[in-house]
Amino acid sequence: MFAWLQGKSVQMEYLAQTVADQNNRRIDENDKDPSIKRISAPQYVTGERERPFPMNNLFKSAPVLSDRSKNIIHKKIMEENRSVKAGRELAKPYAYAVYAMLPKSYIENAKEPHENINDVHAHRYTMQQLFLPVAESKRFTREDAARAFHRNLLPADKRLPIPELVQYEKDRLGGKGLADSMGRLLKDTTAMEQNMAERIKAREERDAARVTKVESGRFQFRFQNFEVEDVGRDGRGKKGTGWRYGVPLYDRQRGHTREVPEKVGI
Amino acid sequence: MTVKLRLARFGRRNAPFYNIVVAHARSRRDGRPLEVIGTYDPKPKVDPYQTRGKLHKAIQLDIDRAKYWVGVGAQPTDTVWRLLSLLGILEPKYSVGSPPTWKRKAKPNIAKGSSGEPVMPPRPEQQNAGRP
Repeated sequence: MFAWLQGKSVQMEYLAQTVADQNNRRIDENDKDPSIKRISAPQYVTGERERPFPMNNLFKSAPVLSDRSKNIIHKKIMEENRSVKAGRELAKPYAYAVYAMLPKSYIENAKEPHENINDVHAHRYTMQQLFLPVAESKRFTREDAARAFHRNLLPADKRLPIPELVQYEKDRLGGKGLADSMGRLLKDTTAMEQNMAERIKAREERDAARVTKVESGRFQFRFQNFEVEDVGRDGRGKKGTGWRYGVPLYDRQRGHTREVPEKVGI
Repeated sequence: MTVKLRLARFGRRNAPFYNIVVAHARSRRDGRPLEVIGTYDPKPKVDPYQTRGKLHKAIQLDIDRAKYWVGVGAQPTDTVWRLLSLLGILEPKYSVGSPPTWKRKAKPNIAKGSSGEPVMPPRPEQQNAGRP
């Protein structure tokens, strides 16, 4: 399970190579060359070990890690594969226990993308961390989970874009035959499409009822009815039509948005 | 004073836009009217994705209010008359949407041959036959 923790990464290997090269050279020089006089501690002019700059009385240096210590650490991590958090054990038993309890998914064909069918857009409300104690005797469904996140949040099943396909998969898992479940899928999708077409038609009819179209020689005149009263008592209401009187028009003012298209007409 | 149904021109240069207004006849064209009963955008418009067929002109009108003002004696100008007659509120002054039909002049006398049948005048090609 933790095999991926044991090996070396490519990046670490490269880093190890370069760092080790430098260190080895330095240590080789230090150790093997008898001409280099090895000094255990630096001797400053002031005679004090913590004051490397004699004119600066205020600066006292903290000890830095010696090359030898660096090499020891490097050897431990890069060659002996020991953890940086020396001495702290990974909580493996817990991870094993949870892993054993959870369902697993397997990559059967490496060429195909490994995705679940119920991939839903992760809603912002579901991203928060929530601690909700629930009695074991109670049934905790997806509806309950959604309600725990927010009172208006729909459960994942209802937020799926194609609920008919989900129903089809449920039918198949429930042991229904291919013909039956496919028949239901076709019936549901047909009904859904019919419903959508009716809604679009109703909207078009409603829009058309507001407009009187009169054909003339060259053009079609479209009269849209409206209420004079919409302009309000002072004649400056937003719902009123026409150019306004006594109201500045900022359509050529710098920085004022003019016509921002909100949707594309069909 | 006479109350008129007329257009008040707004919009910009080369981009006219009219308010259909009820105003006193002697008041200035674009002054504050008694009432704005609609708008008229004379620039022909295309429907989205329209490639053929007629262009349309968009008019907003409070039809009940227009009927009321005509009923109490407001006098529409010719242009407003044309628009209202499109809706059937007024009798059209002239046929809508087609160029005005002029009275035909008396037919020219066509020369008749000896047998009494009309002789066709020479064709233009024949007239121009000798020319380069």
